[in-house]
Amino acid sequence: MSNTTSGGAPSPTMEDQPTTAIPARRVRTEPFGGWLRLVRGRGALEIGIIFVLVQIGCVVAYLVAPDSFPYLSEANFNVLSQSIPVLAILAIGAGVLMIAGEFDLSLGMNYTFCALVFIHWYSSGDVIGAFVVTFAMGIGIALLNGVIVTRFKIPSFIVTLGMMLFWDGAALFYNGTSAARMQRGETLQTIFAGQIGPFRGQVVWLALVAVFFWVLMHRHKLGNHIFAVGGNESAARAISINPTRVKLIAFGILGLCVALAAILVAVRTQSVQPGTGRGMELQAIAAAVVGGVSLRGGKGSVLGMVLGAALILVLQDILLLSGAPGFYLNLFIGVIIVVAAVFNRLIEGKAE
Amino acid sequence: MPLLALALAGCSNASNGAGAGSSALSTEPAAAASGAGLQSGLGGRAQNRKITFLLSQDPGDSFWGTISQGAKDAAELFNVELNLQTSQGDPGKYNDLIGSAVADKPAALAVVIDDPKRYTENVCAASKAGIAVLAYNITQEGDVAACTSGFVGQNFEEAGFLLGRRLIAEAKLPQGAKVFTPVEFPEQVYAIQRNAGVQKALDAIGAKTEMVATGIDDAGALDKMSQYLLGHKDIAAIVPLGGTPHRNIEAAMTDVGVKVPVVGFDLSKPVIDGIKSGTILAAADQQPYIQGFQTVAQLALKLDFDLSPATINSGGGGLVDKSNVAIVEQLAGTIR
Repeated sequence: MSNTTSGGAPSPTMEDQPTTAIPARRVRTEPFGGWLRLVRGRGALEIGIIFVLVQIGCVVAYLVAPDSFPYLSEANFNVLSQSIPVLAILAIGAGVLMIAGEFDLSLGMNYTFCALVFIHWYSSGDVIGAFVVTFAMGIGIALLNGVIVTRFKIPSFIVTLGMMLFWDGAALFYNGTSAARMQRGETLQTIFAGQIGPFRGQVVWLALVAVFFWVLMHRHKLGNHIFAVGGNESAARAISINPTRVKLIAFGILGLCVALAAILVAVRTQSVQPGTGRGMELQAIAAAVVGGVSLRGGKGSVLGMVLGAALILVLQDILLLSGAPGFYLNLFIGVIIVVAAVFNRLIEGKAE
Repeated sequence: MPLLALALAGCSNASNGAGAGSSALSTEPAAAASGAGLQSGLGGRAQNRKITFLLSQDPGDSFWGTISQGAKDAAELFNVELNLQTSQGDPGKYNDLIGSAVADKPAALAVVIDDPKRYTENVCAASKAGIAVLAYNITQEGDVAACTSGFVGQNFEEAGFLLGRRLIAEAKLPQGAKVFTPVEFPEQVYAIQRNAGVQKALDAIGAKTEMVATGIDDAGALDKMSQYLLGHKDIAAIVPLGGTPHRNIEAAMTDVGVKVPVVGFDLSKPVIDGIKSGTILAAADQQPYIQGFQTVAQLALKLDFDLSPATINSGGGGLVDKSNVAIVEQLAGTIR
């Protein structure tokens, strides 16, 4: 097994080997000059640059006009520290699976179903059961997708699109048409949404999940195998990696992240509707792609996934704080996602 | 109430009396029940008893769930076969559902017309095919109105005006105040008309509204409203124009430490709690249960007796506030 780069990508194929000879014309036409080639393949570096620049801009704007742009206010940290972790944890799940070369479009409906299951079990008084069943459902739903994809060799895009519709209907069947509501206990609130200085407890969960999966993906053999299978399945098989097993593990990781995100959101809002997670799969995939995860598999970083999710929500925050017309909010968010993805592509130095 | 009791009796005996001049009579013996309606075949006179009831949003939303419940209850009372379908917020799919209904040939069709032109062709095709079409929740004027036989729903602009007046009277808003009006889908007719009603009332003091799209996801709505409030410290009042922002507004204000007067649309458990605690001054209830129930009830009367449906303002002219919140609290989220 080859060593991983800081971006985590192993190089079992020629594709990932450093370019030894770059045509002179290519050097001249490369965006932002030749220095960009130096940061190629460094995982989260590209998105990190954008994120830091945005943060610097926000801090400057806050210092200039703290009243009209309260970016560094405690209340704003409070909001961001509740919204970013859920999308970031979902982005980690979606991103790890994308690195393994697969998609899961049923992520949003899995997330909804898990949140409904958690609320129903918790409301019935079985707290331990609520956690056990929610994680079992989340992982089980994702693993079922994985089994169908690997066993029948059907593209995950199609399988999970079908399963997305299935679980959408199942959520209505299980829950009925009314919003599910719960009354959270103090202990549950402290653990999943407690106040920690200016932040909320969700940040701690994101940190734990991010560190765990960073170690797993970038410092552990399993991570190497996931990158290898997503980068080149045949080459991975040739060096005795079992792609089916690796992909199933990646689906399981997604399920784990989905269940945790569902619990966080259920505890926060104490109210979940069957339609809640619709579109969340695309947001999670968008966050991962903005964070530098390749749609073709084999490339990406956990830090990038977190920063991608954070960037999307921070930019929404900036727009609302600065008084951008709320009516057209999605217009700006859409442009930002595309621009960030294009910037990533350019900075990778791979734009054709 | 007497009619309901009669209908209830009728639904357990889905049969007809002597319906003069009808070729679609059930052949079962008449029910042994009193009341001219039942003796004349209410709940069993027409043979084709299928009503297709199309929901435009996700029935997982408590508001649409309550509409569904009203429709189901009326279907049981009037002994009609209810085919509930939803497009889950997809207008294209909704249009397809109307088209499918024409092909399926139900006796009657209940539709939400949230666009002045999009559904006209299919709605009019249904009407031409002899299917009784009744609009509920949202309707339009113009060509499409000619193909529907009535409307059951709230007069959005009137309700908005009532709320705006209430806000000015109770909150003592200053001249030229800025009012935040979060809503799930700002581009939809209900949002535009409600906002117009609120704005019409606020014109008296030169105040202005601003809409923000929240969607129907509670967490997303909470985030957007909190961030907006943080960035707009000059907001003097809030009027959530839909159920999702309304039930999350108290949490959003708590999150950012803002306390301004609130009046809003649509009831739910958190809104009831907000009215009781004094955070929410008043709420306009468009009574979704009535929208489901009366739509199906009127269509059943049309099928059995060819009675032309009436237009019903389901919201009436009342607001829910501290004085009457106890009455609706017990039924919030189910019937109200």
